[in-house]
Amino acid sequence: MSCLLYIGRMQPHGNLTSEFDRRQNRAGLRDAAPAVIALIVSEIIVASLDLRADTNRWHLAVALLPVIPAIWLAWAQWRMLRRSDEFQRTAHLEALAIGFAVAMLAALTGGLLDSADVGSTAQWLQITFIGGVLAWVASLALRLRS
Amino acid sequence: MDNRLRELRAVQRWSQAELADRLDVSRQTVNAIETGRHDPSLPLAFKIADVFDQPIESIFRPSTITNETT
Repeated sequence: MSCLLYIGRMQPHGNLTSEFDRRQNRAGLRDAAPAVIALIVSEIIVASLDLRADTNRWHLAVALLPVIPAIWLAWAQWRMLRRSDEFQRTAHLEALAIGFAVAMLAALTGGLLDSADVGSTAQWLQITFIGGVLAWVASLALRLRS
Repeated sequence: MDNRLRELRAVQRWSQAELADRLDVSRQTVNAIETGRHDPSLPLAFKIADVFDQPIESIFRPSTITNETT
């Protein structure tokens, strides 16, 4: 999922990119790639363990393991935003606002449906997360189209 | 805001990427300015004027002025 955030940055080199783009792509990849790999690895580790059956004291720490690379990825995203030029920065912030609004709306709808015994909390959390990220990425791609 | 960026770039025979290199911005930004999807900040507008060696008001003008004259 996190890899999607960087799709918009990957462009063919040559006449379609300026030195600014190439510099930005290199730095973005350098910042984000290790975080994405760490996130995937930690997700695999957590998914391979049966955390519901395991109740020892490391249970909570292992369950929260993917949060560390997620914070790392958020930091990479922040650095990318700081490196952006004025148009890209506006586009990124608008896309983040749209993604946030969609996530909030999905959380509210999910909460209301959950209280009416439709679906489960876990399902609604996943839908909220995926919906927010998709809205963010789609609005960014739309804004940065050229 | 209207601008003559595309026209001036064509005269110089620069690609969007080449102009972006001169302005130290992304090609997407040059494209967005040319297509009217983004109005540049004052520092960037001055930089554009400097690159084309033209006064800023000959490159950028408010859309309302164009509408009134047409």
